[in-house]
Amino acid sequence: MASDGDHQSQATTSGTSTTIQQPGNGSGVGCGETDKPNDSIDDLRKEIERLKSRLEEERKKLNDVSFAQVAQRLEILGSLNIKQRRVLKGHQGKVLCSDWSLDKRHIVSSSQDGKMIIWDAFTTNKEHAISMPTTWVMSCAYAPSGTMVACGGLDNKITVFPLSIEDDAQAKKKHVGTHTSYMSCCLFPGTDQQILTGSGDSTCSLWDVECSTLIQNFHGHLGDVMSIDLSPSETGNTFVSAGCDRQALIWDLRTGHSVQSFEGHESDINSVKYHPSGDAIVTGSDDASCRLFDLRADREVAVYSKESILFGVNSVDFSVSGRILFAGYNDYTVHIWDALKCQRLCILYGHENRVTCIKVSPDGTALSTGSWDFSLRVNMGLKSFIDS
Amino acid sequence: MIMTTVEELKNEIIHLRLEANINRICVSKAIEELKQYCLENQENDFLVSGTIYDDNPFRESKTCGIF
Repeated sequence: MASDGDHQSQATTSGTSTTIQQPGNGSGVGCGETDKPNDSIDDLRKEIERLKSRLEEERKKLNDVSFAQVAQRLEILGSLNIKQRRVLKGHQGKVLCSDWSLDKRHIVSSSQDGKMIIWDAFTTNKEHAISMPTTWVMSCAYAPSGTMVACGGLDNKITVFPLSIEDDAQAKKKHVGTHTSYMSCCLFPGTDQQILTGSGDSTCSLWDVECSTLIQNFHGHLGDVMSIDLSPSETGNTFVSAGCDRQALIWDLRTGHSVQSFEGHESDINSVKYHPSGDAIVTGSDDASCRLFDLRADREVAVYSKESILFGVNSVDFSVSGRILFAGYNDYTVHIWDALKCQRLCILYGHENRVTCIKVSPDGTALSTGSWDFSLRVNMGLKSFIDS
Repeated sequence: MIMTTVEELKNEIIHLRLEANINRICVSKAIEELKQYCLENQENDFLVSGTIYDDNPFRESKTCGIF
């Protein structure tokens, strides 16, 4: 199979550097007769099944040890003492999404009430309140420069607002693009010039902000896309998306092709996040579990769940070292997991309804949480305040 | 949504072939490297260590010593 060089080069030109064929061990799945695939749907389906089972076999071969075994000798983390420091009140509906500014101080949040609010999280002041022509503003994002925010939701549109003290942000709004269904998530991929969005139309899209044009479309999901995250690695031209088809897909931003896919959840995935190392992703799902998938081992390597946890996970994020996993649940709590030992360290209480969005601040010092109880909260480690 | 068109199925086959040819590493190696990353960066992980550096905006506060 590995001798089928023509096909390989064809298949890998559009991929990334990770798509290197393993020589001579029979892992060249599905080559051979496939240069001229039969067009009948049944044949194509059979081929897909065959490829999938081969893929599963390949992944199993390298599953030589469990996470618990490796982490067994690790020291247990002491008590974390993460406590609530600020409550941001002002939304008149469920808080659906939030994002930190890179200045580590400002937060943008969007709500079911159709409002987007820019907070000074330190003073808890509202610096801007922007009304959208729609309810359920499901997604918002801060531009890297801190001078612009983007949002969207049931209006199917991605809209940007430049922020300045003199001008009314509302008057300067600009539509960048439109999906054919609701917009569930958005982010600026390291530049103010582009926005990446995910939608209920089961696609992701990369947009040019200045020209309001579509740069790249990402087709592959079989259901609503609920969450996206950009790879933290510096060469990172990849991102991950996940959603109601219960799979997470890794995409090449330049080519628009998905390069890896991960399955395992038994219900919708609501949130996906890269590990800070860039080598793994974590997902949070309605099946009440979080799962860690390693990109290089190409498989699931850990599950964060307990029998006593029955409620779905809406949002996940890592601390900056990747040691701690934060997860927001439908039972109003935030669970803090030791990502390496797969043990729950503690639970943060405080919110009075579903926790919908969890974001660690850019420097890793604070954790913001948003909830259906209309509020956002900012949590920090205890010692940081005793010291100051 | 169920995939029905030939074009979509073909795309999935292309994707699966790409994926099948990924160079994989053993789970033990992958986990070990994740562990190393976490341990190396834990010192600067303020939510783990509880300490905070000088120019963080939240540090300037003198008025909120208690919660």
